[in-house]
Amino acid sequence: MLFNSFQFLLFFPIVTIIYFLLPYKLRWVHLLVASCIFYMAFVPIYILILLATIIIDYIAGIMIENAEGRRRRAFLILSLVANIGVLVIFKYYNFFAININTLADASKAGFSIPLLKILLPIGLSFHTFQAMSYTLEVYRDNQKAERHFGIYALYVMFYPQLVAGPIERPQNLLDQFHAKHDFSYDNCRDGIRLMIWGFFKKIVIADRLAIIVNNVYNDPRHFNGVALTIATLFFAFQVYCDFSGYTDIARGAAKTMGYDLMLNFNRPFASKSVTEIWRRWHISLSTWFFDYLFNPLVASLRKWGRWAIVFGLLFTFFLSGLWHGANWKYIIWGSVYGVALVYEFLTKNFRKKIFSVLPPTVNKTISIFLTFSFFVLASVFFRGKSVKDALYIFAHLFKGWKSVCSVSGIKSVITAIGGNDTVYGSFNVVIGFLLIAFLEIIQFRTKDTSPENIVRNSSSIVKWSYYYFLIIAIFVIGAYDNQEFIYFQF
Amino acid sequence: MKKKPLFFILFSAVLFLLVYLVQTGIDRSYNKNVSNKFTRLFNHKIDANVMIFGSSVAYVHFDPSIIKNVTGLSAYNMGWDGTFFVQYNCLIKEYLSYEKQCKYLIIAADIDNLGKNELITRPDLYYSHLSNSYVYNSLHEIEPDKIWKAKYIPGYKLTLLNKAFYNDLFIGSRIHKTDTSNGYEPQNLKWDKTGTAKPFNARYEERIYTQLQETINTAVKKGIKVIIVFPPMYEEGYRLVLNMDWLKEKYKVLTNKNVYMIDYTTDTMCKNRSYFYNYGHLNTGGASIFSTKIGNDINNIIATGHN
Repeated sequence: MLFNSFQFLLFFPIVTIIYFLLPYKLRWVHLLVASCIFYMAFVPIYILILLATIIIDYIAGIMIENAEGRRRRAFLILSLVANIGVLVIFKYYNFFAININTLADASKAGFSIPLLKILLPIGLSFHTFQAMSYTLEVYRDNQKAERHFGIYALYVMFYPQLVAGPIERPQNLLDQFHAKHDFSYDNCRDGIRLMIWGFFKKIVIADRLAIIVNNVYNDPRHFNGVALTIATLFFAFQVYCDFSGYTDIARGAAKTMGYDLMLNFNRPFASKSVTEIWRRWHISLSTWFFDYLFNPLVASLRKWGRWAIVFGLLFTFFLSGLWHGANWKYIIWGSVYGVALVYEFLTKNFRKKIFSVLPPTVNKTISIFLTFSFFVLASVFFRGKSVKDALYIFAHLFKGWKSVCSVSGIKSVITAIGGNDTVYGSFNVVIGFLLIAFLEIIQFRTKDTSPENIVRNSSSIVKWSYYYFLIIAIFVIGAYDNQEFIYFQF
Repeated sequence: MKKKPLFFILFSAVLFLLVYLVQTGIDRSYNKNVSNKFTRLFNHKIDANVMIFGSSVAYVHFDPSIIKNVTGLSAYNMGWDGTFFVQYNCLIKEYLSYEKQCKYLIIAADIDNLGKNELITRPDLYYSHLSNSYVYNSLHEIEPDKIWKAKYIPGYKLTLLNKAFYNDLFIGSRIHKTDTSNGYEPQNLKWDKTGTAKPFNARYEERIYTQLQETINTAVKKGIKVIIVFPPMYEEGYRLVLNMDWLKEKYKVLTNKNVYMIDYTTDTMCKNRSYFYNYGHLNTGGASIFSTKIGNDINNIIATGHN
C-alpha cells in the first residue's frame, strides 16, 4: 500500500482509531495484522519470505543470548546468512548471473548461468537490515533477545517503516512495543503535522518535479545541456523530497500512536562536506553501515593505520551503492561517494589551512555550494537509466547553453522538457523552482528543528493558514499519476 | 484539554469548507471561462438541425459548413478523439434534454464504438459536470471507482486535475478553435501509416448496445431522425476488421423508418489512399468529399425518406 494512495487515507485513521480503542494487551496483534495487510497490498505471497526470516532471526536471537563462544558466533552467522541469502537470491542473483554470463560470452567459456524470473519483494533491503541489526545487537549484548514472538515480528513489520525505513535499531523500537501508549492529543497533532509536511514534500514537490525529470531522463539524447541541468537539479530535490517525505509520513503515522521513529534526514543540502552529507542523509542507513561494517572493519585492520580508514570507506560505500540496487550505476554512485570521502579524509588538514584564510561565511557558503554540486552531479548515476546514459548526460551537461541567450531558445528548451508542450513545460519549471525555493526557505527558517513546526509558536490564524495552504496545495498542485516512492525499489 | 479536540474538529470543518470552496470555484471557473464545445453543450449553448456525435471519425470527417451548404440545414460536430459511445452517450442525452432545432442526429460508428475504453478520454472536460446524472452514469461505466470517488469524496476531484486542465487554465482550451468551425477539426495530413497491422475483432459489449438502442429511442420519441454512419475506411484497413459484417448487422437491426444506416466503408473513395492519413481517418480533402456525400444522402432522406 502506498502512503500516497486513497487506500492509505482510509487505512491510517482506521488502524489508529482501533489501536486506541483496543485494550493494551491486544494492540500488538492489531498492529501486526495491520502491518501484514499493508505489506500484502503489494505482492501478498512475499509475506512468507518475511515470515521465514522473522522466525529464523527470532530463534537466532534467543540462541545467541543463551549460547557462548563459538556457538554464539555460529548462530549469528546463521542469522546473517539467512538474511543476506534472501537478499542475494531476490536482489542480486540475476545481476551477478548476467555479469558472469557476459564475461563467459566474451571469453567464450561456453556456459551460462540461468536467470531467475522473480520480482524483488518491496522494501527487502530495509527490513533485512533492520532484522540483522537485531541479531547483531543481541550478539554484542546491547540488546536482550525478544521472547515475545509477536512483538519481534512487529519490530520487523511495523507498517510505517516496513518498506522504506527508517532502518530502526532494536534498542529504540522494541522497548516501545512493550510500553503502554495512552492516547495523546499532542502526539496525534504532532504526528499529523509531520504527515502533512511529508505528503507535501512527496506529492507536491517530488512528484511534480518528477514530471520534468522523468521526461528528460527517460530519453536524455533528445535534450540539450540546459534541459539536462534543470532535470538533474530537480532530481536532487525530487529524491530528497520523495524519501524524506516518506520518512516524515512514516514517523508521523507512528507518532500518532505514540511511537518515536529515528530521524532519517536532517537538512542534507546544508552540509558543508560530503562526510557531513552522510550524517544528514538517510541517517539510519549510514549509521547502520558505520556501526556494523565500517567500524568493525577499520578496527580489525588497525595495523594498516590511516589506510584502514581509506579501505573501510571505499568498501563501505561500494556496498552502500550495491545496497541501493543490483546495477553498476548504483555501484559507481556509491563508489564515487567513497572516493570523495577518502579525498576529504586525506586532505582534511590541507583544506582546513587553505580555507581558514577566508571569512567564515564565505567559507561556509563555498563549502555548501561545492557539496551540493557534488550531490547533484553524483545523482546523475543514481537517476540515469544506465551507466551509458549517465555518461552521456555528463558529456552533454554543458552543451547547448547558448540557447538561453534568446527567448526562442528558452522557449524551445521549456517546450522540450514539457513533453512538446510549452505551457505545461513552463508551468512545471516555474512551479518546480518556486517549490524548491519554498522548501529551502522553510528549512532555512527552521534550522535544526522540524520544518513542520515552523509555525508552532505563531498565532492560531497563521498556524491554521499555513496548514490549510499545505493541504490545499497537496490537493491542487500535487501530481497524482501513481508515483511510487523511489526507495521502494530497494 | 477539552478545547484541543474541539480545535481539531473546527480545523477539520474549516478545511472541509475550504476544499469544497476551491472545488466549486474551479468547477465554476472551468464551466464559465473555458469555452470548449463540451462546456457549451452543458450550458445548452449548442443547437443545430444536424447534430453529429462520435469519436475522431466524427471529429475529423464531418464538416458542418459543407453539410449546411449542401442541405441548407445548420450542423454541429460534437465528435471528439478516442471517445466511444459509452462516453459520448452523456453528451447526446444532455443535448436531447434541451434541444429545440434538431432534425437529424448522426452517430458516427467508429469500429470500436460499441466497446469500452479502459480509461476515460479527456476526463477533465467532464469533471465539473459530475452532478449531471448523464455524465456521471456514462463515465461511471468506464472508470467506476474513480468517478464515484470524484463525485462523493470531497477534494478527490482536485487530485485528478491533469495536464490538460492546467493548459486550459493558463491559456484557455486548445479546443477553442473547434468552435470556430462548429466543432469540426480537419486534419491536413498525408498518409503516414507504415508497417503492417494484424487483423482484429472490433470491441463489442451487449450492455453498451442496449444503451445505444435506448438513446436512439429517446431521440426518435422527440421526432428526431437518427442516422448511423459508417464513415469511410481505407480498404486495406477495412479488411483487418474480422467482425465488420457482424457489427454492421447489429446496427442494421436498429434501423426503421426513423433510424437510418449509411455505410461508406465500401464507397469508392475507400480505394483511394490520397484521401486518408491512416486506415480509419480522412484528411481534409477526403473529409470535404465525404461531407458533400453525407449532405447529399441527408437530402435523399429528406426527399424520399430513404438513404
